[in-house]
Amino acid sequence: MVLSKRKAPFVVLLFVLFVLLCGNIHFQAADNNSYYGDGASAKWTDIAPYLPVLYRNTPYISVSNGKNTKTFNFNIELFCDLGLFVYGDPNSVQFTGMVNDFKATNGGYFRSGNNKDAFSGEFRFLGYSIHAIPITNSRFPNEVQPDGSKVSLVKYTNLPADVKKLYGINNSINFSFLPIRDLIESVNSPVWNFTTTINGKDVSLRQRLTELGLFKNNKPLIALLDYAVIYSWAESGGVIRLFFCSEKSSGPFYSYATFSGPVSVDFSTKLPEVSSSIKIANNPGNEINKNVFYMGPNDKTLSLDVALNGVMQDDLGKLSEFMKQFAYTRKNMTKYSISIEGKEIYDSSVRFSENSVSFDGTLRKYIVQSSQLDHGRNVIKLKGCLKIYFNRNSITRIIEAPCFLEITIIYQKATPTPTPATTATPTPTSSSELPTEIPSVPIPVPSSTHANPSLSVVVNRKW
Amino acid sequence: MIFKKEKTRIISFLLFFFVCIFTLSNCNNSKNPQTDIQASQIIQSGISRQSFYTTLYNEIATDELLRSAYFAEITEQSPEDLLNGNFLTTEKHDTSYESLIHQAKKDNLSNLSILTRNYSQGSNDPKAIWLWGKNNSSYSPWDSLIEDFDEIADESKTAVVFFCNTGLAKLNENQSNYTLSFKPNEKIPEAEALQLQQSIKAKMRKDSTNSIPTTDHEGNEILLCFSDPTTLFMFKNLTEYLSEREEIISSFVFFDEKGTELSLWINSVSGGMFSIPLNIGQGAVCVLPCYSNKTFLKQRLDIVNSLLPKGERQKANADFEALLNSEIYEKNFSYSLNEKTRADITVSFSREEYSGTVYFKTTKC
Repeated sequence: MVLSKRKAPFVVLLFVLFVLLCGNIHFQAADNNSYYGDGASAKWTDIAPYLPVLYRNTPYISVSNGKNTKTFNFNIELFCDLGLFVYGDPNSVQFTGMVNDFKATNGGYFRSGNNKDAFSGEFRFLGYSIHAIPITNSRFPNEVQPDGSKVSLVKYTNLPADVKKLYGINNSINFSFLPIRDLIESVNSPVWNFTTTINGKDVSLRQRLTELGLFKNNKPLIALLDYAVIYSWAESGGVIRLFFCSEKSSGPFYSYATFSGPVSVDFSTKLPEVSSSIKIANNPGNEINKNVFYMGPNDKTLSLDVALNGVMQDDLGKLSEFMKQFAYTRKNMTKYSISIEGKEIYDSSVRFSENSVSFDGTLRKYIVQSSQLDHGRNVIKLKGCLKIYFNRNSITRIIEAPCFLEITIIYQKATPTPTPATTATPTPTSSSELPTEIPSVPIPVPSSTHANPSLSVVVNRKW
Repeated sequence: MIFKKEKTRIISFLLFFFVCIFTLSNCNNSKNPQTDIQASQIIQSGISRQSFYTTLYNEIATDELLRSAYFAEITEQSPEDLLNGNFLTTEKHDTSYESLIHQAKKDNLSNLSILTRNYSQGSNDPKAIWLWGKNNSSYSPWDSLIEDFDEIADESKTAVVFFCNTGLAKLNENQSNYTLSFKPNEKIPEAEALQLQQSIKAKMRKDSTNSIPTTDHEGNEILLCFSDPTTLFMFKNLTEYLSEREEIISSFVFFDEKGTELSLWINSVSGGMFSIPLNIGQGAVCVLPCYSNKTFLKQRLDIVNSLLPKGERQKANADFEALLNSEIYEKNFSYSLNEKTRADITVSFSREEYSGTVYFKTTKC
């Protein structure tokens, strides 16, 4: 059957749509993050909002080899699987003349050839960094293991000249990182969790230094920048290299280990929006306007129930499985606390809805003493706070949502009734003894205590 | 008959109305020829540059239309809100890594002011001005940018600053010494005066001399402005060099990779991304990662070369060429930026390994 000219474009369009749909189905196939090459279940547009600003603004980089220029896209699979920021892939580095070694290892992330079981291993380089520098694969088994001899850590400045030359090290190599030395070396720095691969196992810097007796009681005993060469340092991760020396019969033998840390994932993980508000939950009977209360001369206290409501908008119902990896949600919440006027509220409740979580707590019988008040208008600021604690990958993060409410208490202080004058002419009195000035605006009084608000004015004049 | 009379009355009323409008509009236009006459008289009398600027400024200030074209409402934005974000933590004396990073960012951002000039005429979408450097006088940043600013009479300073902000002031760039001058007491040449006058008549505004167009981290167009001449010239020369070679894919201002120092990020055609700290003219260290690939290393060296004054570039170029063709893997160079500042450049890379770095640091002499 021959298609009419009119129908042909529609058939072509249907065919294109079919191809696109099939492509899409293939693209969205579940990703196995234990090996490279099966694609990613996310697109650039999915992950970009979760990346640090620098990477969000850089979907690709361009590199020249002197003859040609080529662009390399952000590697979504390496990011989704390992949280790494890489442009191109291990094959890309050949464009600028690098030879990328492959070493077979058990449980290696990369595959050599098409058979994914036969040649698992690691490439020396993962691809390019954002600066177009080949990125070392910290899993590449490149540390030369000293054969039983005692290993000691060496300051990079103390390395022999030939070793320095080999690795391109000069004494000022860490110079640019000195302004943030305190950050890098701080006890809470992510650097201690950077890892290297030794005999196929991930070993953290903390573990390695502990083995060497250089990390005790959760504190490093060395100034890291004196020992480690910092190759890169970012909010989104870093690469450092430590040098070791072992004594052999042939003389000292130098080796190194590169530690890197994709702290990026946690740093770029989004915290949910949290807001809170407080209100007066009870009607003490003398509320004359919203959040405005009256206390008469006979009122010694005002008892208020103060309620806090907080909302955490985690959008859990809207997040895809992939995006859940990059967002703090109720699933990462470990605890919460509500405090009002500095008091921890234990009488609290949580309600879960599809995209948000509500927290409620009430401080019962918050007492305002009349002795704390001045005559007339008193503004009291009530403070509340909702804190939510999260934990992901052993990192605790806390969101604090403070709130406050201003209440006004109009207090009529009792003044002593003046004793009747004994003389015909009243003696002058000091200003403090003068009758208090009558407010220009009559103070309305709640009906429960005073049936007729206008009476209050009359009462005032009696003074 | 009555109808005809009515018609005549309407026509005469309309005529009167149009005559009035015509006369009024003529009155308005007649202002400019007067200004022209005044200005040309001033020019012929051979007045100084600063006096001419002051006269012209006063005319703008007293003319309603010109005022609406040139006098802007300034809105300021907090750099911390924009770039440091909400920081959520509970501890007052928090020593967490995030808290330390936050504080470092905060310290760095104290050098930045963000403002937008909203003109009531002729600019629907004004670009935000990101002014880098201490902004602590009413003549900022021009009093620290123009080397002979002190020679300007007090009554003329506002006028000069005004024209500098509109991008119309004629400033002399000294490329060999990285200085800007105004020459306030020099007799203003007739051509310069007429050109400025024509620009004002046309209600023209330009990006100010101390600015570089780029974008913020969200892709909004901004003008990155500097308040010290050394930094200004370094960035101007860099962007000019890269633009001439069509090397810039995109650029934006954000913290450096360490996350603490505000920098200009440039995505280049031949060598990925690199960043230059905004404080480069005041002692910040610029680090350009590289490796032993000769093409790549040359791109990095060309970048640092473009930061130097034009007079120093030839020498630097020869130094770098010699380095690339030698077996040396580490070398320090020093060049003069101006009488007070020099640039120290350290090139260090490994011929066997992939790692290397080009450092650039300015030092006060």
